[in-house]
Amino acid sequence: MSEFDAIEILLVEDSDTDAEMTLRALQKHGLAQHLRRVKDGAEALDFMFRQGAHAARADVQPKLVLLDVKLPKVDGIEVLRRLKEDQRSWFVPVVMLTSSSEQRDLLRSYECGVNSYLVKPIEFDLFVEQIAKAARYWAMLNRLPLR
Amino acid sequence: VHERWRESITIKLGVSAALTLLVGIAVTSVVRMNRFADAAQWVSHTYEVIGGLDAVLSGITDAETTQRGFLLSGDERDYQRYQRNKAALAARIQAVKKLSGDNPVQLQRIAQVEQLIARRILLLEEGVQAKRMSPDRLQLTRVHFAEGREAMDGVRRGIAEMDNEERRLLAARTAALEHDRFTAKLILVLGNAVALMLLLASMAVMVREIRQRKQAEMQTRRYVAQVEDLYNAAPCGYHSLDSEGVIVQINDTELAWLGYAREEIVNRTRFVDLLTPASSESFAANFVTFKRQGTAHDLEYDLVRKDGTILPVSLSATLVRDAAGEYVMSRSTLFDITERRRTSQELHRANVFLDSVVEHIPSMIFVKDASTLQYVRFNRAGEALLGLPRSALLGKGDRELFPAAQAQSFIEQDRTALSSGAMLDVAPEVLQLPSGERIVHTRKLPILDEQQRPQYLLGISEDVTERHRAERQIHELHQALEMRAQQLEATNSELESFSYSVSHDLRSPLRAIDGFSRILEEDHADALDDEGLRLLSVIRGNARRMAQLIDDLLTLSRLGRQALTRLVVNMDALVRETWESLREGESLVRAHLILDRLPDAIGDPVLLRQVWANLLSNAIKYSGTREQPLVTVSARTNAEQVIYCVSDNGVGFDMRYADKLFGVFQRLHSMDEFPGTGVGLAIVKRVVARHGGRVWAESALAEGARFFFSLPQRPADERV
Repeated sequence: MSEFDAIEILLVEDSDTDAEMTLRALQKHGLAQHLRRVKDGAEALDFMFRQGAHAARADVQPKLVLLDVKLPKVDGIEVLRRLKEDQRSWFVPVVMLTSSSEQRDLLRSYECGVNSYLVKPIEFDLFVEQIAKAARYWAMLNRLPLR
Repeated sequence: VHERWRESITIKLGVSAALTLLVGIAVTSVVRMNRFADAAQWVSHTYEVIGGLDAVLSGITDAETTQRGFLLSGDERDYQRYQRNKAALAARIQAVKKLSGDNPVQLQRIAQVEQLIARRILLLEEGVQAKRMSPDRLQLTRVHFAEGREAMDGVRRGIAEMDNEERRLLAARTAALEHDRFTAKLILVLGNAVALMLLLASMAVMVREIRQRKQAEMQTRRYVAQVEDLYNAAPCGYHSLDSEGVIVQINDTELAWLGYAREEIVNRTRFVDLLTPASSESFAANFVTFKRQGTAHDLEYDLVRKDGTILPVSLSATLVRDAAGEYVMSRSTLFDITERRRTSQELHRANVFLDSVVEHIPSMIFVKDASTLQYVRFNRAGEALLGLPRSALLGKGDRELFPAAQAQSFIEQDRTALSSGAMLDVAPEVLQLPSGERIVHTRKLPILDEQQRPQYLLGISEDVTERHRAERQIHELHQALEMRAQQLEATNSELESFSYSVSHDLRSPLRAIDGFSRILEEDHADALDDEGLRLLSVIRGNARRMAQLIDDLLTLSRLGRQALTRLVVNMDALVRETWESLREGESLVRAHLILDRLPDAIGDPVLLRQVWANLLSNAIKYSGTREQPLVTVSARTNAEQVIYCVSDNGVGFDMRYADKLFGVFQRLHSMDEFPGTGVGLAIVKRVVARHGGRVWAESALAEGARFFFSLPQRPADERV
């Protein structure tokens, strides 16, 4: 699993419960070593643009952003829009995570340039599998292929 | 004409002058001739006198000679000769005297000569006496002889004088005669020449005049031909009738109209015989009047052509009378008025049509005279609205028909419309009429004449009482509806945010329940006994069921809000595809599908797919217990709709509960027998209903079930 050492994933999730489950899913596939979690949209933007509380962080963008749709302060789709518009962040893959299967969220997300859109399944095993698939796919796409 | 007159005068003058001249010449010639004759007589007379004078001189000389002879001879014979000569001399002197009777000077001279001759004769006689007395010796003195010589010389002188005079006269007379002859010649030549010239000039003028006369005649002939052509080829008919009404003249145009030859008509046919019975009657009456009055103007008759067709004409005529005022003939002009009559008939028809339209229009229509504002026209609807017959309305003004204030208002409206020249739209007004209080909406429009001056005022009044009432009701209903729509909209948006929240927020805890149960199972399996693990699995099963319920409910709720698309949907392909995806989803599907050919539908492909998915999965589910589960999809078409059917050979249902099948959360089987949320058929019902169709089902327990849904052939209005 050494090839994933350098992976840094930013998880934007307000619910501790959901965050724990996501973390667990990523851990199960060895993708959680460099996971960073923020709790709302505003903090996510601060982190990405190295401002506010995150002004001092290293100038390296995460390999992947897992972004909940429903977030306090700035909602997920707005965060997505700003990331995809900005020179400093547009290249970072963003996977939207949502509980609902509302079509309008899906459409708005794709309009804003989302890379993947994931409706979190109720069944945990399925959830683990899908999170892992998406995370690995986008994280690896940011690296040279191994084989 | 003046020119011609002048020329004719010129010719007359010229010819008369020439003739006068010739006559003058003739008269002059005769006069001249007489004068010549006279002059010639005078010349010969002069010659006679000269001859007479010679004879006198020779007579006296002869008398001397013979006397001398006697004196010498004494012979008696000589004496006799002397005597004879002496007598002859006296006769000669008498002749000269006689010839000179016209000339007193010559007469005087001849008298002196006679005296001298008498002296000489006396002397001669003395000689004779002397001889006789002394025959031998002649006793005569010298004086005697001297006297004799002297007398003789005087005679000779006197004769010479006379002779000179006569010769002078002769010369003068001859010269005068010559002059006269010359003058006469001159007059003759010149006079004839002038007369000739005059005659030639007159002739030239005459020739010219003859030529001009000929030209004028030709011109006249041409003019006559033109007039005749004008008469015959005129674009109107001309004819003349004698006092009996027989056609005596007719032009080619009218003949062509009638289709007769001239010989068939002229002097043979009475005009009245060319008319239809109705026209001939009126002609008979008109002709009598015409003969009395002398003119007829624009009388309309119907002519019958030779081929029997009718030609309507307009006839005007004047009467030609002779000097005594007696009827000679008529001069009639006819115009073909086929077009005019057709136009007027069309106009009449149009008027009748318009009248009928006006009469039957359900609005009150009235027309007022623009100057008096009195009613001149009313239609049936107007009589009905005002409750008065038109006889009570026409010729009246508003003041006679309505209360003063109302009439005043009407009149002011009229004046506004008339002065503006445009349509006046009067706001609906409430009128108190015999039929009760009515709301009337009136429009007033001036009707202009050719000079753009208002001639009439057209009014159209609509009884809008009912409409007003209806409009008020509609308005109220509309307001109520709008309120409800707003409420509905609020409810809808509430519902939407509700379902959004539901989809989002209700699922998270369920996922957490499942997730943490699973984590508990994985991480703390050792701490749990079998019962604990079973309980965990019950928890997870319920969580999943709850999630399914939520999903189905959300689907159902979304169906009510989502807009329908309408496309032609290939139902065969849709069923096959749905069937395949169901089989993919559930590996245990054993059922066999029998698919008939299905007609295309018009509808929302996504929603119709949902319908098929639900019906097919139901069929699979309920036939799953059979040895050979069989699902059949078929369709039939009638005029308005296509009816699709999904049947299975499964457990079926009790028809007593058929009405519960399509309700939300209604289930006819226990969860243990056949799992499900009880929402699927409710979704089917809603989708089909929104397409304007219907769902129903038939079954008998344990004998399979048949589910039907119908879709209209043409999309009906969307129904919720």
